Amino acid sequence: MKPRQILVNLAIIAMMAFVAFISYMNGKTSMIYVENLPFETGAAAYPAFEAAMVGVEGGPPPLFLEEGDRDVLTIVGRTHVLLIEELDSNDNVVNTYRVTFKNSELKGKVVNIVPLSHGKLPGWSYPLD
Amino acid sequence: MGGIRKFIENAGWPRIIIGLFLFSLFIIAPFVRVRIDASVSDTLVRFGMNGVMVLAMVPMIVSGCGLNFGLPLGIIAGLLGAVTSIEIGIPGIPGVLIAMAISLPIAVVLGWGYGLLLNRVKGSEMMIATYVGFSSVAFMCIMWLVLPYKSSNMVWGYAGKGLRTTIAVEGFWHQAISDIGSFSIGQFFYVPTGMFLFFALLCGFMWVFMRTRTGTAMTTVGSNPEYARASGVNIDRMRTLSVILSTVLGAIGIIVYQQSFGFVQLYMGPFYMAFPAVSAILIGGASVHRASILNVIIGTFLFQGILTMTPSVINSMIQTDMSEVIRIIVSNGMILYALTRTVKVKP
Amino acid sequence: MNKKADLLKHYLIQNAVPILFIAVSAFAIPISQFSGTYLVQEMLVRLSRNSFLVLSLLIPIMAGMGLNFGMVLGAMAGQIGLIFMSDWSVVGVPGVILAAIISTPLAIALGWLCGTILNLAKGREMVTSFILGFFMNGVYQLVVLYGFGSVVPMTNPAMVLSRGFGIRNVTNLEGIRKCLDNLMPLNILGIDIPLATFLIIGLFCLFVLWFRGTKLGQDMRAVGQDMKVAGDAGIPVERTRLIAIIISTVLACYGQIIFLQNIGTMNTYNSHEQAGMFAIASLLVGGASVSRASIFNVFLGVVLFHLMFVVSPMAGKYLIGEAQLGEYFRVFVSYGIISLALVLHAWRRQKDRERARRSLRGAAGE
Repeated sequence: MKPRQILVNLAIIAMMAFVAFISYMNGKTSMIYVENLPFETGAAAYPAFEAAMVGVEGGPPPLFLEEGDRDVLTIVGRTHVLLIEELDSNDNVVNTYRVTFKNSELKGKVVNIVPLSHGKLPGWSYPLD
Repeated sequence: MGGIRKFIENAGWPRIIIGLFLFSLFIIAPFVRVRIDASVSDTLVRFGMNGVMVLAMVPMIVSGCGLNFGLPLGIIAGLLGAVTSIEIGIPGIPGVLIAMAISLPIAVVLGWGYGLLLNRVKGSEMMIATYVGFSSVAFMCIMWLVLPYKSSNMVWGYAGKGLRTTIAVEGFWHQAISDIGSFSIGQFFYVPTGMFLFFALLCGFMWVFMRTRTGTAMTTVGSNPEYARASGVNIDRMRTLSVILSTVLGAIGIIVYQQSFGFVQLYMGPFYMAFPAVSAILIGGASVHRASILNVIIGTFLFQGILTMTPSVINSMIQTDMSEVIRIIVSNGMILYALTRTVKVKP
Repeated sequence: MNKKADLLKHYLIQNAVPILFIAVSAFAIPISQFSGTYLVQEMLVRLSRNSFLVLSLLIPIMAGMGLNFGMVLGAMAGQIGLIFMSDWSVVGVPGVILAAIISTPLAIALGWLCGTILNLAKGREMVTSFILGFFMNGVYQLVVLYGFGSVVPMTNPAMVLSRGFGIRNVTNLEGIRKCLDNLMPLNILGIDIPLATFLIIGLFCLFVLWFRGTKLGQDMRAVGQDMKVAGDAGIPVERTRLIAIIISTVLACYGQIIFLQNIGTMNTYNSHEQAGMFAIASLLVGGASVSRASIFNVFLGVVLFHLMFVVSPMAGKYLIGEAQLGEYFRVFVSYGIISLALVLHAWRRQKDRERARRSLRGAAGE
């Protein structure tokens, strides 16, 4: 085979490997636990939400979390947009939070929506005990 | 040394490998707690069951029509005979004879039409045989539902019409042929002498036929058509005759199979039945253009031996059921091997 | 007057198969009591699902290798790619792309195997590829039923049989279900049209048309016309045939992935078996022959074949009172149509050969 043919073949293989890698990164699903617990930093204490609907923007129907609940959420790819709707005792939407985070920002499989909603306070993500 | 090499060259590596594989299975069997007497008996029974259908391959290979993938056509004739015989209800050997007698004319007619078709498509016989076989099985599926059979053994209970998928031969002529002169040693070793005698009889007929004038003409048509034409042989007529012969043997073959197996399988049952027979004769040493009775006997024994021994031995060895997969690979691999061999022109 | 009648007769015989099919369908559709909207929607879905598989058959026909029953090998390669994709939990369009890329080397290898074997069996390509399909089915089962989970590590235990190795009978493809179809949704008059899939099919059709004009394409046409003449003209006949089969196998692989993403579940051990049979039947119904097939044959064939597929069980039920009869009728017609097309082709070929021989003998004899 001529050198140019070999080069073109290698380039095609490299491109395919690259596209495969990108597809894998962007399409891989993983599971995270989301929970609704009160959160305390040194500066302030935040109570847990009365109830909340947590879901991936544009994804499957959201999860319903009362105070203390923990549930499983499937996330796809590397960057995620969570839509958190805070509900009051009558299940009316009081507040809506839209948070974006990356896989690399996750410190573990558990995410507490309380610190997450109030500006991604450090400690919003931690490993499973 | 030269003799061994010639043997290997003639037999071909795949056959030798299969032969050694089967031999090793028989050796291993007692070590994995598989009863040798049951295995040998099973192999012998299956050998008798399938032998006639493998014999049906010979006429068409010899006359140059290739491997008879259209065997289902003959099988259908046999099924019609069997089902009608059960409808009539006569048990035992007469029942079997009636089944054969009914299927014979059907097989001749079907074989004649099939032969005419194959004569128009010389060069593509095998592919067309396969699909003609498939289409006729599919067509008969419709017929089995519609034909006016009434025997309560055979029709669906609910509606009272339409044949069932599997019909038991028990009580009619189950093992009618096998039991002739049969004997058993202990609980596991049963020898169906009757079936062997019948198979030997048919092999004898075939052997004699091949040596008659018609038989040699048929062989010449396959091996050297120009010479045959020059000698005044009507090629098309010989080919049609071979197809009819093959179809008739297929009909008889399925009846022998059913009387031993115990069930008549309708609808999609005969769909793939040509393939084991094709595979068996190829394993026995035949090629697409040449086949002998010895090929039939050796091939059927090897093929059925593997089919019997592999499940029991390998399953006991590694605790998994690999038999189906091995069967598919061995039988189709053998056909593949035969198809890719070019005819070596001997000077 | 006579010439017109002759022309009409010739046209009818040439296109006997699709005409027969249209007649049967025209008869059966009103009986089946399906609505027009339902049928149109159903046909669009089936076109988007099956066309790619049927298109993969075009190139071997162009190269004179007949109907490539070996496309089943490509389907198997695609399925193995999907198994890996499912195992790694990759979803959506990235999942489909990943599956396609992973299975490509496997499809190329299987295509190479198929092509080499077919080159050893010149003149008997169709039977050989037919049997090869069965053989590889056995090998596929060996690998997937015993190798996956034991030799090939699986990370997702939900996909593996309870004994610890071997893939389950049904592989859930919920993650990629209709992901290509829904990529660019379009809805006209209440009928969903999977635009993205059709775009891909369209691109592929352009590829086929472009390919015909390239040197490789011309070489294949020459080999398809006459192997000996092509060989004398300096074309590497065996290599060209091999490439034709490899391309066909890879395309069948992608076609099977497209097919399965539409359905959403995969029968791990059965989905590929009918792929070859239905694709070939569809192509033949569309008026193609063993030696000549066009893109028009593909689309016409898919529509006609699947129309009958959908309509006959119901038509059988209303006509004779048994839906099962309609089922069997459909099976019979599928196989019968392939037989008919094969017979017509072989008949014509033999007639040509006899005519040629007779002309030679006539010239020598007289």
